Amino acid sequence: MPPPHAEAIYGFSRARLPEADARDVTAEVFRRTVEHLSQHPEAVLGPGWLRQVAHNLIIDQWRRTSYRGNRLRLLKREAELVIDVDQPDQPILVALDALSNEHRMVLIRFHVEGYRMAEIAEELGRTPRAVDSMLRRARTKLRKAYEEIDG
Amino acid sequence: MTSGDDDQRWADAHLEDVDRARPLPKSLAHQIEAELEGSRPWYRSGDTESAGAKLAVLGLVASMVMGLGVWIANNQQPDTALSAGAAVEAVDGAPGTADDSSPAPEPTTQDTPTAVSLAEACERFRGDAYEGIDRRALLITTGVASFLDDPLLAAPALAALHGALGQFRTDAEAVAAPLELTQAAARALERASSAIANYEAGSNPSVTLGQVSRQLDIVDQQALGEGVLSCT
Repeated sequence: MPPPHAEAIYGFSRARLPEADARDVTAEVFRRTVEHLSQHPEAVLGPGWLRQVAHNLIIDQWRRTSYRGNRLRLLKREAELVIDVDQPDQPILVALDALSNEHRMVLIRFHVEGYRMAEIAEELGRTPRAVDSMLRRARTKLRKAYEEIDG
Repeated sequence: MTSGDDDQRWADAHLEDVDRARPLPKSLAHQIEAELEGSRPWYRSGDTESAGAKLAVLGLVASMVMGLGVWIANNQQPDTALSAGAAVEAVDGAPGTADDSSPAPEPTTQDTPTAVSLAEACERFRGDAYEGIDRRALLITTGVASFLDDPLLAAPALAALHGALGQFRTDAEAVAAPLELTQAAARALERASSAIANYEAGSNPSVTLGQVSRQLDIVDQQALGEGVLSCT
């Protein structure tokens, strides 16, 4: 029996990250939960706390860049090869996986989380016009990827 | 109606419930349950009477995990665990060629921070320890992923990964690397310990390998951070 909120955290993460990363983030959220409780036994942690931890981890993942990026991707790909697959993902998730982190981020921010263009622009340090352009490209790519997957 | 408008409506429709709750993959559910085992519920349950006892167990378990990591790191024996170098050879060779009598462990220098100059320490840290662990970790992890079907190979490869992480942490501490880096290395070490324990308990190590990979990622990022780069 999965712990309360685990499925919500996993779903939240999976919408924003590829499968392997979403699993890692979900597991890390609960690892941090245990760690936090060991340091603050009196704490009462609700779904908002769990979601915030997941959110922060996802932001870290989105922003992460490294000159060793290729190596890390290789590491992850190798690990993914042996991860069991319980059920096929929805085409929309597979299509999201085909996008860059930045395109995925603007789509989720705008269409799922209801951010305004100006807020996303501020977060990314770009102009609203540039974000609007990026959003348009991201939508087009997402739709194309989806239609290729869904036939 | 422009194609942009059409795309926007399409995106609205298809992303509407994309972040809904989803059933956990079985292996992830098991992993989380293992993580939470012994801890009290984190949500407001009103069950406070057993919380103290459960937390005591949690603290004990945490201490044991930490202790195990330190103990293994300090007690890697050539005749009981493959060295990182041996595992690399196993990775490079055909499956079935690795055995515990393979090459002896690489020599480990245990210089204290006062034994070398900062410049030397930084050079060694980057040149030998960091780059070395980076390369070894890649090969070992890749090798572990390849050898999962053969427990005789997967177990020593996991042990080698653990040993390599232990050496990495030792080197990081020896050159007084930033606290965040040594902590990240310690965490990766814990993950490797956990992967070994899970493997020995008969559970599927694939997901914990993913975790180890992620921890290596974190170590990697932090090693690239200002602390290490300030060595230059």
